[in-house]
Amino acid sequence: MIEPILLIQIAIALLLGVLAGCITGLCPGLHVNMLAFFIVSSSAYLSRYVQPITLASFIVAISITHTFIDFIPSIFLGSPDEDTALSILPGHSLLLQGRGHEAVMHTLYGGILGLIVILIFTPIFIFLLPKVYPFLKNIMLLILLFTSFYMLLREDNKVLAFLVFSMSGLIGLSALALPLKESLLPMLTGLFGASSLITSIAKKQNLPKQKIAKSKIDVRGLLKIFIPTSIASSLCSFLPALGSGQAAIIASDLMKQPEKENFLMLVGSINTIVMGLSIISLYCINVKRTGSAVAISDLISSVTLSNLFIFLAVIIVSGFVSFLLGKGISKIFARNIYRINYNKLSLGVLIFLSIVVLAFSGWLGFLVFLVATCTGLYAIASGARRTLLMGCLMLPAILFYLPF
Amino acid sequence: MQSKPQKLFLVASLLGIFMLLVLSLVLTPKEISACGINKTRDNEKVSIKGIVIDERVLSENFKLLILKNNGCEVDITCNCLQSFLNNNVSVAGKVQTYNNKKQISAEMIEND
Repeated sequence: MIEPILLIQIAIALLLGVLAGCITGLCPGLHVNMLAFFIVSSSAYLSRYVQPITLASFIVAISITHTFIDFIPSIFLGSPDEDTALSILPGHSLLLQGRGHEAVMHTLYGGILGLIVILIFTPIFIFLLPKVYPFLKNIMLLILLFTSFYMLLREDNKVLAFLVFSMSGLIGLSALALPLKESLLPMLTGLFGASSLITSIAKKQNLPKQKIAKSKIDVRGLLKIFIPTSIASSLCSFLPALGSGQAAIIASDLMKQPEKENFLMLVGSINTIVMGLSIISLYCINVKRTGSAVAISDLISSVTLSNLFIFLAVIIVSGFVSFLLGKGISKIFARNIYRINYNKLSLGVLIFLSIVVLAFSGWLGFLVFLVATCTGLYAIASGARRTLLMGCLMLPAILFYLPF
Repeated sequence: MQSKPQKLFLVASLLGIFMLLVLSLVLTPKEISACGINKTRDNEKVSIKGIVIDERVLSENFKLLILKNNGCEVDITCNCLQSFLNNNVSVAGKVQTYNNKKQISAEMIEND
């Protein structure tokens, strides 16, 4: 039984977490991990006033809200983070058709599906994960190799696919080896964000007036993605080195060339599921797969079943609140974005991202950003599938798991 | 047949990647002393040298090493099978905070 005062504390933490998650989701370069680790480093002071479970609930609420909101800048501004990078292309093409809000709504509905999958998979995780995890961990290298070869062999132009995968993989290796702070930021911003922005500036794209139709739930689309998204994201929520990007590739291939709308729903659901189940995995196998899970485990050394129920409640409530907030914020973007000169806006975002990279990762990071941008531009110009750029995370992971 | 911008991006990428690889081999993380770990920031890449005075297995291959350097001690976590106890080692890794205490998550450990 939870004390009423603790319940009130958790409810306030949830609301503040949702607000903070909206800010991290909307600001390019502001990662949820930064805020989570700030909370952990201030916990000695904060724990004089609130219990660790309240601080952990705050982190859960920020993390879940972030997975709903971060698609808005990704789709409207073309500025991604590591979890939304793959949504840029389909999102941008719908934006050019005046359907930017619809694109965001697909990711939000995907997020709601993600909440349902989390509820279904929690008991399965509690029962199965401690049994299967040791086996899966031992064959991690094989899983990574299989995923990579599969990504390459499904391409028509295999030489080009290998080239783009290898180039992004080498950027990943050097970015991780260089003495950089936030090494993923310049690499992913260059590969996925800056390259898309430069392409749209070069094409002198102007946005049409955005339609804000009353959004309907695409039940058929949600049913179509339910099984692939459940399989891929549940695996990627606890297996090391596989994240939302890889889950999206596996799930979209299980669906055999999904339509843009379904793909957006897919990435929307995957982000929420991977984040939610990574928190559940903390209880089941004590594995910390995301920065938020690490931060929570720093606050609560051993997650109990009653902690887990609180986290589940926070995940569900913050998810639904974020859905409503995301819908409202997306409408504001859609109503106003066509009034702005999109080329100037893209240029402004590009300059802002460059400043963010410089501020967080320094000149060396900026160099990684420039090289990654060139590779992203090459992938776009040559017509290679952008998912191949995920080699930047997969190749280093493969090398890490090699036994020699 | 590749277009002109395509060729340009390819050449720029390959040259840039080559430069990054060379830089990653040449530039080593800033060397710190165990006493100065609190002056570092989380996620900062650092290197440190010292003697491993204690070694604890936390789970399977995940170990905690206590490294002594200049009279101070620092916790090093690593995914490693090999024992480094009583060895002089060089460690490169990222600074992390655990239970309000700075530690280094090792990416590379070599016996000196």
